[in-house]
Amino acid sequence: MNTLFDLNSFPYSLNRVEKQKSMVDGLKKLTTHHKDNCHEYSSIITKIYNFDLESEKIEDIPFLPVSLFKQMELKSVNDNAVIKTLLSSGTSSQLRSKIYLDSYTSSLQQKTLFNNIQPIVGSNRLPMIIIDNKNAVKDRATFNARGAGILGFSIFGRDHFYLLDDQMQVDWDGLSVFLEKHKNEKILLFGFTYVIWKYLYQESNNKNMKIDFGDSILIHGGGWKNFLAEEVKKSTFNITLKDKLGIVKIVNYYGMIEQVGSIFFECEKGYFHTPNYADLLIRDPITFEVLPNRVKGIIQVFSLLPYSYPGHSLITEDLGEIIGEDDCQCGNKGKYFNVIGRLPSAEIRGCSDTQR
Amino acid sequence: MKVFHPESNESDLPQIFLEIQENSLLSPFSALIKDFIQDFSQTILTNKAMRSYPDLISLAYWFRKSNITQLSSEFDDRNKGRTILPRGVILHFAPSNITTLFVYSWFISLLMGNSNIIRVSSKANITQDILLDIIINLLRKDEYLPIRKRQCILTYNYDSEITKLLSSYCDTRVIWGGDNTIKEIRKIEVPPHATEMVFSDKFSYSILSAPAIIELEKEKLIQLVENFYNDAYWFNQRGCSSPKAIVWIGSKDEVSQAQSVFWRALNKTVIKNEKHSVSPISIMQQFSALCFYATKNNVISVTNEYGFLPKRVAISNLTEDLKENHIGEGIFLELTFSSLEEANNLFHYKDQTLTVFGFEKDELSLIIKKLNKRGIDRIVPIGQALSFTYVWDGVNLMDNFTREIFIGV
Repeated sequence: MNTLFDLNSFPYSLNRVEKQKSMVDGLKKLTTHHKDNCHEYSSIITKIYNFDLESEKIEDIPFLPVSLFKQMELKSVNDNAVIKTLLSSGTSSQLRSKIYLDSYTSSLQQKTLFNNIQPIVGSNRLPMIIIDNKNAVKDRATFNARGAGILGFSIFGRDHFYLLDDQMQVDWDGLSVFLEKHKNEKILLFGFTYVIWKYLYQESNNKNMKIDFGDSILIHGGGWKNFLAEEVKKSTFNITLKDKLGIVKIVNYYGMIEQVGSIFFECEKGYFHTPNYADLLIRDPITFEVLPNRVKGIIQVFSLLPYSYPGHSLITEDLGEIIGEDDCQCGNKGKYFNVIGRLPSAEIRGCSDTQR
Repeated sequence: MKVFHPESNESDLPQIFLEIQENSLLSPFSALIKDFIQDFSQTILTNKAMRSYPDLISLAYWFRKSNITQLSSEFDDRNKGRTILPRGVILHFAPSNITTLFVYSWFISLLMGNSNIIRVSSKANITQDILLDIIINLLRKDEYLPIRKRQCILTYNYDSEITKLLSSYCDTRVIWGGDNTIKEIRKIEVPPHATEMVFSDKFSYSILSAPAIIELEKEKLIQLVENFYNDAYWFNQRGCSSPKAIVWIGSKDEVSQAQSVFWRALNKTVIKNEKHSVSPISIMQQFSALCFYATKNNVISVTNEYGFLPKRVAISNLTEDLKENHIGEGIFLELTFSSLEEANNLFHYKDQTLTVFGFEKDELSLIIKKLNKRGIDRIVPIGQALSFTYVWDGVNLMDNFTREIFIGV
């Protein structure tokens, strides 16, 4: 765990041989910790899994489905140790995942994000534009995915400017002022993929506004899931933004509120990479068997961070494929993968058609 | 909002409803209605393409001429010497879990001579599209004009203003579940003279006699599990009548042996049928449900086989939260009793169907008579869980869709 958590080193420094044993040991320790401290988790792995503590394989670490966090409150610390609750996005009539963080887990999350983002933005804080509105971060004790993401990333910027107003419309005047003020500086932009497309790009397109953000880096994530109806390809997104908004560097990330510490940034070759403290497997969606590289299946994510809640090994509802490990042309070690999209959605349940 | 029949816009509805309301009523089992229904039945049964839709075949088969004749004679026997008339305009709210149910409700009401307004599910659904297509085309035939102008089929996302409008024209409102829909719709009044029929959320079981299963010869066992498979896997175990829990009756050893035999055979049947049709999201939901169950104290064990094989959840006792959180998806709660009498205490008003194997009628009658709380609406053999009967949830549809005029002269 020590090597993996050397938060001064480059996050993609360890190859499989160097990483695997420590990763598995770390995950096993977490499994034991959660088994001892979370009654529900203990019941699940006792009644469903044949829990083999001796196994050295990462695929034998028990996993929970991300959707379970919508149905149950799972934590491995006392209630009074919880300092932050994260909520997944969703309307009030839908169930939302609740993730409980204690100060240890929360601080670990910040430190690893800092470590993870350094290769992209460098060690100085850059002037930062947040492509969202201020209301997304209103409540400091409870964060939804958007709020948590914004707050998490804004630590790496300064002189923050929220680009959208309360009606989610672009504050063009404010933007001019900001761009003028930071004319010859490198700028950091952050936002959620669908917000950027739907509010910034569409509006600038409709109004025929040409903006040039200058020497700029855009970090975006939160998924193409919302795009399914519109089907915007990643390449289209990138080319369009570079073309219309003059953004020089675009970096996508894949992550989920249910697993803190698992932010997988895109490399310059366009693949997501696992940092030293996280890992990934692809499983068959029907049998859950582990699949080899270049075969599409369900993504399972591992992280050494979730201490306050049993989220260290989760199976998602996302489809993806691992391209390879340690040999990406970008030079980063670790597994590198693609995310394809969400599982086609659920059928209705029960007799009624009522509001969901 | 979409009005399937008659072709019109939302703004035309009040006028349409007024006309339906003012039309005279037809007579129970009139020749024209019987012809229409038989036409519908034949259209499906003679179409080879329909064979990929077993629920449509079942529906069409139920409404075949010989069954209608049977229903008609049962109706006559029951009502000898009595004056029976249709109720008037019946408003049906169809369920979204079993597509064909709206047709049973509608056509039985139609057979009684009623005019009908039907709100069908707003969810995209191939089977429903096919049915509406067939029915609306039939309605367009010249000879069915009297029927055509007495029906309205529509769908809308639940909206209390529209529900209010529909409800104001009806003489009977029928709500086919679930509990939440019933609660919401009941907030809206029906005219003072109108009646209401509701079919709320129900839970269903299979009861198996362990000794009887052990004695079964191979062919009969295969037949039994195939029947069980149909009961459970049609509609993804989401029907009110779909067995979600299996109650084993026998000694510990007998049950253990019977379970081994039964599940081995059922697994084979499931593999044969499900291999190509199960969806990934279904597996994920199933896994999530199993994890949820595992956290409950009265859950003893959960099978951990991956894939589309049935999942067994052994429980020590059956509590409401286990039932309420059942999502179908091939999950079976299992419990054991040494006698049928002991199992009796399980059932209450939210329980509907018992599909049984290995018991005599008198043994079963005894249970019903001894039921402490209201519960159980039907007991049928394995294989008939989803078979429709006009007595449903304790409600006789023919009686409830008609009224009796007392003539004291």
